[in-house]
Amino acid sequence: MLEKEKREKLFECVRKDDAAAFGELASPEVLSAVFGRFPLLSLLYLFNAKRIVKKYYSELVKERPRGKEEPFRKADELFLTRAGKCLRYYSAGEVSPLEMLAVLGRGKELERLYAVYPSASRFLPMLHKIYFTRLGEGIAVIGDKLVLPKEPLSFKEKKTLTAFATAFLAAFLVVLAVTVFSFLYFGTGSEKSFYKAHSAEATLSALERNYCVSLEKDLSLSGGTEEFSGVFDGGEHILRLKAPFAQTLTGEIRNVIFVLEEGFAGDAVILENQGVLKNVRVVAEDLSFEKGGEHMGLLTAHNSGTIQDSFAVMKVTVEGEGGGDCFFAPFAGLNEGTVHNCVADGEINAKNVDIAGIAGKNGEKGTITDCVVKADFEELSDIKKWTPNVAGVAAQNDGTIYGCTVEGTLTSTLRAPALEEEESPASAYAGGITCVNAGTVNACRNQSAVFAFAENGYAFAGGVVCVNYAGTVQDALSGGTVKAQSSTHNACAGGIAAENNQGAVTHCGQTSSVTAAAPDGAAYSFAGGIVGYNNGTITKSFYTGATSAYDTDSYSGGICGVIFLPYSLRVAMEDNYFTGDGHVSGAVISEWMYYDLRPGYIYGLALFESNEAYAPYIEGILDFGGAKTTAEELKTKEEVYYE
Amino acid sequence: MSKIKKLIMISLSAAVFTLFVLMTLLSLPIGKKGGVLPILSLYVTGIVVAALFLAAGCFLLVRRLGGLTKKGKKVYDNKIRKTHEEER
Repeated sequence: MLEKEKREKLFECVRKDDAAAFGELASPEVLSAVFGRFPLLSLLYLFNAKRIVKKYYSELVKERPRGKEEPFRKADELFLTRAGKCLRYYSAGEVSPLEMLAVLGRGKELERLYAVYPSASRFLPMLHKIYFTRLGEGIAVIGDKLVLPKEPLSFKEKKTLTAFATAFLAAFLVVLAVTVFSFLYFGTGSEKSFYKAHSAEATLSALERNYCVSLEKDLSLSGGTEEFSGVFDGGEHILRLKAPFAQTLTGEIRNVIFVLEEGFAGDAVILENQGVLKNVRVVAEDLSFEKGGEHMGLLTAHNSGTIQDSFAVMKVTVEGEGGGDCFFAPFAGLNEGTVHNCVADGEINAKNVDIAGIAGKNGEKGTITDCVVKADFEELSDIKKWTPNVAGVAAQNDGTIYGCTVEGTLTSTLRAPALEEEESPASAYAGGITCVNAGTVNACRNQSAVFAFAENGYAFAGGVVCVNYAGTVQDALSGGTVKAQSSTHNACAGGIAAENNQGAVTHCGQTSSVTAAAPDGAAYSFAGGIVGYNNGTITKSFYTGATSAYDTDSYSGGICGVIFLPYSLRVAMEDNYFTGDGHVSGAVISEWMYYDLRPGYIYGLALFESNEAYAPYIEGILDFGGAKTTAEELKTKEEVYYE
Repeated sequence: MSKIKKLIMISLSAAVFTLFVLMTLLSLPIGKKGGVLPILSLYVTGIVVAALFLAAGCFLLVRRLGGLTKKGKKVYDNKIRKTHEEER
């Protein structure tokens, strides 16, 4: 029998799970002790002394001769509360460690102990009973292993599991809510699910990531992106800009209104467009631009992509330094792509910057079709070597312009300082559709008044083209007043072209007045119903405006102001008609000596009419290639383009 | 449930949730540092994290309600049946 003091110490060790103290007390006598109905190991399990069990497990499970000891009252009490329904089996009998574990419902420990406990199978019937009593299910044995029914959870375990499960499900809901909300609110940025931009930061971020973006509300952007290759759908919202929207566009922008704010710094909304701009409106009211690059515009500086169904509203002033070429136009400073079905409406006042209604320069690959320009354009040049170009569609055209209409007023003014003796003068160029044409102008209509004024320079004004350099103009109609006036040098005006140099004008017409004015005695003026100065082809064209009076310095003709007579004597003019007075051409410049006509000299009507020696040649030269007619007759001539 | 298990569970779930919050902040175009990551990464992370939490929550809930998962119950039933057959 253990001493009382030792028993108490042992009990305290067990109760407190004090492995160290237990070690001091552990002896074969202690390890084999049975306290009342509890062997030491059962007691340890009852008090859940895990540390002691773990440390002395191998010693505790050894089979030893048993030494009966006095029971611990507290152990009995505890067992009474823990045993539950199983208490009925232990009114007096011993509770083995296996049974204790079964009663306590510690299945895993039971399985482990069963595998090592000496003659464990002898406890199987009791274990079966205990489990059946506790859980309504018996146990089974596979080989040496116990298979136990699943234990119900304890209250504490249930509480813990509830807490964790609730926390996890709450976290799930939070994460799901954030994800779903983000998805619905922002989208993914793919073509199927556009990124919805609600703020300026979001828009810029999306642009930099080249998302497919849809604008959800009107915004102001202070910056833009370098390159955008996604799709931007403005949803007809307004985007206010203080800087270019994109340096380079290779994607698509559509359905947006760009409003350029005061202080906008940049050559255009899109500096380089290689993509598509569709249904884009650009608004620039009361803005001032200064020369940046060579090509400037409102929508694009350089377009090699497509601009279609777009609109520009402007009231802007543009100023250049006059040191180099600079073009400004609402849709493209330089167009080498396609501009289709666009409308420009407003005013541009420029100084030393060439301006036009669609593109500053339409390159060889450029195509401008079905555009409408309603505008008042005015350019002033105050330097000697700058030739101001003002045109309704493109200041220079090397490509194709088709089906465009221009309304308003186009004014090009050169006010250069007095020239030195050897200095060559600049010119003021104004053209209803384009100024310098080396490409094709087809089926266009100009209803605007075209004016070119020059001081210390030449003045050229054409109803459709100012200077046609080997280009083609066909099926074009001009209905606006055309006027070229210089206070110091020659002035040249044509209903279709001021100058036709190796180019072709076919099926064209001018219905309003064409006048040219130069200082008497100091310079010449040429005004032609179709061409001012012709060194090219004019066929099947008509002029119904009034023919201005002519004298020794002012030459005007129903079709040409002056023609260049080539060495072959074959002037390429045919089937042209005019309704006014005078001759087809107002004057002639001969390339070669021809009946006393000195090459390079201008011989006007006055000379022919006052010198009978030349009279036979009047029909052959000044009335060549055209004829007078009436408006009624003109309308009946089916081959003549007339509306 | 042991303390270690609890600790691991809390740490893992906190780490996963923190990852999600981080992805949200970096992906959504909010603030100056927002939008650094593609927004798609937020959705992918969100779906994965939500699935993890849902699975963990459901698993614990099933345990809490005293049942086994369908698969677990099937395995257990088979084992018991097999044992009884062997006994017989």
